[in-house]
Formats: sequence, structure tokens, C-alpha cells
Amino acid sequence: MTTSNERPAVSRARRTLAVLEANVIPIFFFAICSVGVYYSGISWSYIANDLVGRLARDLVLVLALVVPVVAGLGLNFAVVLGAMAGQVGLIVVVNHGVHGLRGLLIAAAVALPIALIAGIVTGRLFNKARGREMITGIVLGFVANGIYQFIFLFLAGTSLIPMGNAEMIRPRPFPMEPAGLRNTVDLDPVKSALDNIFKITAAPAAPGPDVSGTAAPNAFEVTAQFSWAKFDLGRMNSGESSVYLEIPVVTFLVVAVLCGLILLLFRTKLGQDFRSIGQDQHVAEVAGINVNRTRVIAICISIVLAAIGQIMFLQEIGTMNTYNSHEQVGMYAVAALVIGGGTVSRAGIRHVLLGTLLFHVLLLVSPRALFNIIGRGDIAEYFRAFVVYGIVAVSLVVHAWQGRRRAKAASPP
Amino acid sequence: MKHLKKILATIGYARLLIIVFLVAVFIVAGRMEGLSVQELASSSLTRIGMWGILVLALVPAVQCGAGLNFGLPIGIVCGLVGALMSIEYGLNGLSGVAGAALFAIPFALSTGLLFALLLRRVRGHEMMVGTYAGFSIVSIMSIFWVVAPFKSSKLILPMAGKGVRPTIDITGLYAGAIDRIGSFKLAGVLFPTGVLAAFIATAALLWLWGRTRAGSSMRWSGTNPRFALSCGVRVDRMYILGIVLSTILAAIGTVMYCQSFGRIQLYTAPLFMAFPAVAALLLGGATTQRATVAHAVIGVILFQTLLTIALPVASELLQGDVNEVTEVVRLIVSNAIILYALTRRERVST
Repeated sequence: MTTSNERPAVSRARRTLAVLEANVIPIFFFAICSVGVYYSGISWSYIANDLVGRLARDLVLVLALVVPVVAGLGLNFAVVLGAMAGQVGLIVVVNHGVHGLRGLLIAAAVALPIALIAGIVTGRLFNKARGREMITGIVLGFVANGIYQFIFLFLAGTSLIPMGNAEMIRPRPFPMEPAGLRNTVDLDPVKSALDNIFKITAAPAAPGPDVSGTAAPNAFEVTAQFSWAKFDLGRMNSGESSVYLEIPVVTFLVVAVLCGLILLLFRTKLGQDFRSIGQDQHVAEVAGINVNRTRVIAICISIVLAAIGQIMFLQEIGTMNTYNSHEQVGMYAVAALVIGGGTVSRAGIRHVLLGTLLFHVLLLVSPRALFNIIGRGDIAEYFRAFVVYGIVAVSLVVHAWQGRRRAKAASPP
Repeated sequence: MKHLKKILATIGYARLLIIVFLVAVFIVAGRMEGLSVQELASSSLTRIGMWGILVLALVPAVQCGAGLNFGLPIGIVCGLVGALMSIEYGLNGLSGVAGAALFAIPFALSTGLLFALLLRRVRGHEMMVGTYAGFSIVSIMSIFWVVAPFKSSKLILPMAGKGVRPTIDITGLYAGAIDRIGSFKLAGVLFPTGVLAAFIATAALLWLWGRTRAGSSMRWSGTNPRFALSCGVRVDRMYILGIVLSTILAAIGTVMYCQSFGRIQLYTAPLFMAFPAVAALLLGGATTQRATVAHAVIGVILFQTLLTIALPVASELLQGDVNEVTEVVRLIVSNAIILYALTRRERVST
């Protein structure tokens, strides 16, 4: 007699197929990226260096999407509100000319209450729009964007919201007074403030004066740069073309800590509550979980993370497009998560990491690759948009499909 | 008194508030210098005609049970293709507009069909899937415009020799062709009778169709599928009919929009065009489950008039640039209306 604890005899092939089916999208994108890398002709070292920067600045934004998915709220397009909160923090800091890491911390401190309020409002709205959270998130993002623009285009710099730093204000044609923030704001005071704390750089080594033409080709030296000192870590030789790599260690440390916190979160009761709500709201309610309040908390976490993520993003880039930087944050982050294998109902750290990686490789290589394949340079941006929208569309369709299949299977014929 | 109360209740207190607000803004506008009430009124009328059919296009989709058709850009893009083909074949004036509509219809029919089949598989998630399907189609079409085989000099980018321009000025061709039919000026206000007549005619036709057997079947399929099924209506077919009709009307509405606007805007312009249309429909009293032609007509009149009149006033008050204020306030108002509708608890039909 066989016990019911025995694993059902599913063949190896079946299991591999199941794994493949669950990860169709990342595999597909891996293939596309490979094709893209090949046709673009960009060197690995360049890709590596560029990727390091992109990952450092985008990971937290994508990470912000994980908790709402697990809590059954779907893909949280309202992360835009968090991004805007982060930007407000940076605007305040630049306005007062606070420098370096202190500036970033103050920006985060300013952004935090705004993000929390935004999170509570968003969470309450999502509770009212149960079942339609995603489209509500998109529309809410537009409304918030409009309000943000209203404040910073028309009110900032005027007597209603005085700003000390006159350089941030736009001049306008006579007879209008200068008002509104400039389209691009230089974040010089805090540029790379987090990155520069501790960087490991690998750069081509200049041949010493005593070496007469016998310098090893493609030698590069690795240094550890702190903001107060620079240490040589040694020299290495790479067989390939010259290597240039800059790894902002502290930034990645922050990302790692945040990932760790999320993992820890899911071991707490709150994290388990998120999972319960995500699986079945009704059962969770019956089990005594305050579903409404927990959902609001999930959104708050998401939006606060998005604020931090946007601050990290902007400190790396160094300039803020006041009115555009945050616009596509929601759509791009969601696309990255989906590319990594995340769905409306399932998202984990691995999806965040894999997705951001693949997404940025594709963004990096597609312009050149398309140009080499087709010969037109102007398609790249539309191809990028198509990838972003198309992959999320596919994921939404698959999710809806599966939902209906499950419902059909569950209901009696 | 009771009679008056009944009328007020039918109009709806929210709508009443908006009408009062509108009148107030009209009065304020009249008092402000630098703003001509006649110009504002003319603008409003033109914009009502411009957006009219696009908003009507949303009605069949709601009625057949698919909710708010955020995938309107799919039909819009078909309309754009028709508009371009009309120019490519050198059609001007009225024949230009007619040609554009006729060229657009087969595209709208086929893509509408495909879209309907897609939506049918994702019942319950139509709004999200429609939004993103619309975005994807616009993006694919953007790539298409770059490599499109159009040859007319009016369409092609002058430098590259290949690829369509982002904005095509049709003032010489068929812009205003419908607008100008029978237009007259009364008390300084320009009435673009042609396009308004087209709008009212389409609304009337749609309403009449809703009363035919096919139309009623579709409406019942949307509100009460079981009842419709028990009457022998093929609910699935009605669903597809609603979406296809919506897409075709969107295409025709786009042609109207372009001829009224005087420009054809390609590439990423259609991306968010569904949102003002949806907002207008909702303002007219529709919900995600229920919409009638009356909702569309009232909605587009209120919405466009509200924005057209209030925005110059607002920009004067804010000391801002009119274009910027317009864009931002439009963004806030239209999406706030949609947000309100999405967060209302509704009786969800099984």
C-alpha cells in the first residue's frame, strides 16, 4: 500500500517542461538579448560597465513592486507617486544647497512623510476599487502627475511657494515673472553622493615612465576609491580590449540591505498576512486579518521604496528632468519585473534581479542592433516602447487567461 | 415643486453642480479682459464636434459588457491609416474626408474583430488589457509609420525620403471640410454646423440602432447575459459586435477629429487619447457597467465646454502660459473623473 506522502510519479521531462512554461518570458528575453548583443557589436566590457550603473539605480524601483504583488494588489503602477515624493525631497535639498550624503539623507527624510501620505491615499483608493487596482493605479498616477506639475509649474517660485534658489526657477517671456521649476535641474550638490562613498574601479593602467614599450597590453588596475582616499588594490591583465568598470559598492549594499529587509519582512506575521491576502482575501478576513489595513500597509511600503529608489536613481544620473523623470517609472519598473518572470500574482527578488538585468541589456543594445539589422536609427525608441507595453500586455493576458481557466475548472460543469 | 424636484433628480445633482459651475465660469470669463466669450463659445462648439463621435464610440463597448474601452487607440490608429491613405491618393475636401472614413473602415473592422476575440478571452480584465493592447498597437504603428510605403510628398519626411512625418498639416487638403458645411456666425459665435450635425446624426443613428432587434440584443447581453441567453441571443456574438462597432466608430471619430483639428498627429499622439473620451462619457453619467447615447452626448458637451472655457480663465488667474495650464488641468480633471468612477462600488453583473 502506498502512502499518500509519496511524490506523484511526474516524469523528469514533465517537470522540466513545467519549469520552462513558468519562465517562458525570461527565457524568451534572454534569447532576444543574446541576438541583440550579437548584432549590436558592443563589447562585453562596455555592457558590463553600463549595466552596473543601470542596475545600481533601478533595482530599488523594481523592488518596490514586489510587496503589492504578493499582497494580491497586482502590479502597482502607483509607484509613480513614490517617485514624485523622492523628487520633492531632492528639490528641497537642492533648493537649500545641502551637499553630499547629508543631502541625500535629508531628501529621503523629506520624501518619507510625503510617500507615506501618498501610500495611505493610494491604499484607501485601491480598497475602494477592489478588483481594478491596476487600472486605478495607472489613472491615479496620471492625476498625481498632474497635481505635481500643477504645483511645480505654476506655484513653485511664486509667492505661494517661495524658493530660495533662483537658479531653479524658469525665466518666462515678458510680461510674466519667472515662475515654475526649470525642466532640468542640476543635482550637483548631491550628484553621486551615494556612489562616491566607496567605489571599486578597474581602469586601464597608464604605462609607467620606466617601462619602455614593454608594458603589458590591456593591463588594468583595480582601485578602491573612498570619498576620502584612494587605495590601489593591484593590477591585472585582461586578454580582451580595455576594461573600464566602476562599481558603486555602497549603493549596491543599500540595494542588498533592502532586498534582505523584504525577505525578512515575509518571515514576519505581517509578511505572512500579505501572502494570505494575496492568496484569498476572504479566507484571510475570516482568519482575523484586517484586510483593508494590511493592503494599505503593503502599498505604503511599495511607495516608500519607490521614493528611495527614485532618489538613488537621480543621484546616480545627476540631473533631474523635473517633469519627465518620474513619468515612465511605473511602466518601466513593471516591464522589468515582468521580463524577469514576475506576474500579476507572483513576484520575488529573483524576478527583480533577473528582470532588471535583462531589461537593461535589451535597452542598451537594441538601438545599435536595430540599426545594424534594419539600417534605420529612428526605430529604437518605438521598439523600446513596444517592448515595455507589449510584454506587460502579454503578461496581463496570460494572467487573465489563467484566472478564467482556474475559475472554469473550479466551477461545476 | 415636486415636479421641479423630479426634474432635478433626473438630471443628477452632480451634473447640476457642474452646469452651475459652467455658467459661473462663463460669467467670470465675460468679466475678464483679454478673453472673448464668443471665441470661447466657438471653441467649445468646435471641440464638441471634434470629440463627439470618439466619445460615442465608447457606448457600444460598455453596452455589450466590455466596460470602458481603453483600447480606443486601436480604432484611432485605423482612422489615422485611413486619413493618410486619403492624402496619398490625393483626395481633397469632402471626398477626402469620405475617402478617409471609407479606407479606415475595413482596417477597423478587422482589428476590431481581433481585439474583440482577445477581450473575450480576458473577460473581467478588459480595462487593463485594453489599455495595454492599445499602447502596444500604437507602438507597433509608430514603427510602421517609420517604414511605411507612403510616397506622397505631403506625408513623407523631407530629409529622409522615407517615413511619415509626425504631424501632417491638412489645412490645404480636407481640414474643416465638414466643419464648414453650413457653418454660420450668430452673435459673434461660430457654429460649425457640419461637424455638429455629423455628431448628432451619428448619435441619433446609434440610438435608433439601440432600439432595433440587434441593438437591443446587444444591450441586454451586456446588462443581463442570462436573460439574453434565455431569449436565444448569442451573447458571445453580441460582445464581439459591440467591440467591433466601438472600433469602427473610433476610426470614423478620428477622421472627424483630424479634419476638425486641421492636423493629423501620428506616432505617440494616440497613446492617451482614450482617457479624455472616457472622462467625457463618465461625466455624462455613465458608469463602467452602463452607458447610453445620452450619457455620451451630454458628457462630451459638458466636458469640452468646461475645459475650453475654464482653462483660459484659470491660466489668467495663475499668471501662467495658457498651453501649459491647459495641458496640466486637462490631465488632472479628465483622470480625476475616471478615478472617481473606478472607485465607486458598483453592482457587478455575473
